[in-house]
Amino acid sequence: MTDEESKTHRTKKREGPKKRGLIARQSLTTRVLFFASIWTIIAFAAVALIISTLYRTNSERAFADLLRAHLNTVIEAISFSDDGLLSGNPQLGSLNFAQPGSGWIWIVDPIDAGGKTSGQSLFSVSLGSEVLSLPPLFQVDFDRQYIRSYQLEDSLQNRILIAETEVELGDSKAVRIRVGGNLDALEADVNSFMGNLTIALLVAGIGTLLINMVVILYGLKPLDHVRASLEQIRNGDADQLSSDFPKEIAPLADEVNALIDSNKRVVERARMQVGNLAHSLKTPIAVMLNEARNLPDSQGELVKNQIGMMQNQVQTYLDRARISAQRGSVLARSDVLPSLERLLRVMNKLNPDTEFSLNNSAKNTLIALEGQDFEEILGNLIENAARFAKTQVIVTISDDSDMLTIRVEDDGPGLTNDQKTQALKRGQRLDETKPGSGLGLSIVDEITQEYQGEFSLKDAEISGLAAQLRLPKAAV
Amino acid sequence: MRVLVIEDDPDLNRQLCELLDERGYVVDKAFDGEEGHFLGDNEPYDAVVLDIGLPQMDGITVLEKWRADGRSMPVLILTARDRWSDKVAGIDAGADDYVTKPFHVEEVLARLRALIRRAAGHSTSEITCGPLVVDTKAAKVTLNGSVMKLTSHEFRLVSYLVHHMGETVSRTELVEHMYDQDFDRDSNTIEVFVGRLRKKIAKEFDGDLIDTVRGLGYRIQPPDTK
Repeated sequence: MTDEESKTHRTKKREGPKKRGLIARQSLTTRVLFFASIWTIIAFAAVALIISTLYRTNSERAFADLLRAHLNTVIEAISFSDDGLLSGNPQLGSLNFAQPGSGWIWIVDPIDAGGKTSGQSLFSVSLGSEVLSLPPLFQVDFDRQYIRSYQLEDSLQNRILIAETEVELGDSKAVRIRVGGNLDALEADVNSFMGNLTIALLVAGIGTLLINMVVILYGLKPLDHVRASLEQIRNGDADQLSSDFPKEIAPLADEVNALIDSNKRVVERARMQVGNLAHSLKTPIAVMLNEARNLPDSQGELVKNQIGMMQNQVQTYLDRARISAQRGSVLARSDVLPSLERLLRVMNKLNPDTEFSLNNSAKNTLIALEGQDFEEILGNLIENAARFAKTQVIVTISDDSDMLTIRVEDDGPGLTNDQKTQALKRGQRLDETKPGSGLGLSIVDEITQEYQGEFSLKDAEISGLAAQLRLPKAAV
Repeated sequence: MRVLVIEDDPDLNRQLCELLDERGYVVDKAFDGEEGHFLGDNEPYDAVVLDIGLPQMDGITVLEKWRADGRSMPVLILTARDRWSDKVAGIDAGADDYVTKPFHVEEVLARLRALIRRAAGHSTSEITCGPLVVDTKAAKVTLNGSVMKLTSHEFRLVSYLVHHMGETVSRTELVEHMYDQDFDRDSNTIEVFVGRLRKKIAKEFDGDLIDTVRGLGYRIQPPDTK
């Protein structure tokens, strides 16, 4: 796979989740919260509807029963006097029957055998001079208790429910008795109950929603913990998911850990194999390179060129294997001072004619890099500096809040700006008379970038080249 | 100068030995760690070329054992592993320099030459002894500016003496450093070579640079320090 293809492949993989549905992309918490809230709202609305309907039905039944009771009270209290007139004063226990326009009334009409009013009626004070618009008798039937009910409206727009019956009061004298109650009072009572019920249900509903939210957020917190742990693994701050998950998630965490381990082993094995293959090729390449010396000029040159290309390929894949291994490295953290001291000790031994010195003004020399990678970077830089230095190499360490700056200076011939740009290219050798494959600086640049650091070449204060690294500091 | 090459790849071993032989070195070779360790432990080498990845005993172990036993000859390690941590491990084990594979044998030769020179306390590739100048890089000897025509054995003799300028070098030591391990050490060829060398020097220089220290051996030193 070419670089371009692999880049495209990686891009496609990153774009994958965008093609999934809207719900699938939403967080589990949002989904559970959404459906739990919808269900709570529907459930509370249904409860409100059922309770209000039952209350209304019961209230209407009680209202009807009250009118019947009043009807019976009126029947008990009314009689015909000796002169054939109706008399009686029913005590219905409510001032409404004494208050005009209250909508609460009773009326007793003497009737003849044909059911028509045939004498002076008796009625409550509350009726006053009101003339009610009664429905025709045939429109409303009597029930089994010989009572019929109907609604009418008085002149004050009171909706009145009438309970009406007809009874005989001895001597074949019959009366029609009507008792009416104000339905608006019933409606007001039902509405008041509904208002209170709505407030109570709203409070309970909102409370339930909040409790649902707390329970869901708390219940799903382990999943958020999983997500955070995975992010830590991706950022290199952890190498495993922790083991303190609830029992429902623990198997998933174990599986993820097993997958991470397996992936690490596969990558490590592949890296080792690439490394071993590349290293095992180096000896035969050395043999061929040296054997080419004995070939005639043109053939020898051809073979040497081809071997040079093979060598570059081997080095390229070794570097890639190395960098892929760095990508997988976790908990990257090392102290630059011991590594630098070790490297300078080695450099002193290898270059006894060059003076190496180390100036450190940094308070914290811990960096977020693996120790071996730091040695790889600094080893290359100091080795390069030593190759070109006349007498001395100076390593300076300084720091600011986030980054550690390491500057490697030599007093050699230095580089022009063009040469500095060229020097970072893979396989570029600016001075063919000095030993080396010319790969050092590009490796330094790649590894530094991998760890979000910066690498640059500048002019040294002691006349030669200054290689400057800015590397992220590790948290203390 | 006598050099031990320990490299398990027969072709690379042969190439190194051939080049070293061409350039006037006496070369012994070994193909595994145990054999190499034994030779280095028992023969007086001026330098060793040691591969790290060896069968039976790896190069780092060989080196650590030598250093633990007080063997101080310069050691150049060859390694296919080019990570700095590997190089540091090699140097910390007692190596004096390293060359990473693949390499030109000339590069190994140059490093080896520098190591031998440094071990003898010389800072440049040209070692001067009065009118005599030995160019270790070009394997060439000049006397009063004229190139001397020397056989390989004569070159080895003058080179060893000049590297140890001012020191008395015994015949045995000369034999050990001029011939490989199979040479018959009872022969008196050293005296023959010293005699020939004195005659060649006498043609260009009026004086004797090589002194015979009776019962001990030979010593070369500039005439003005005698």
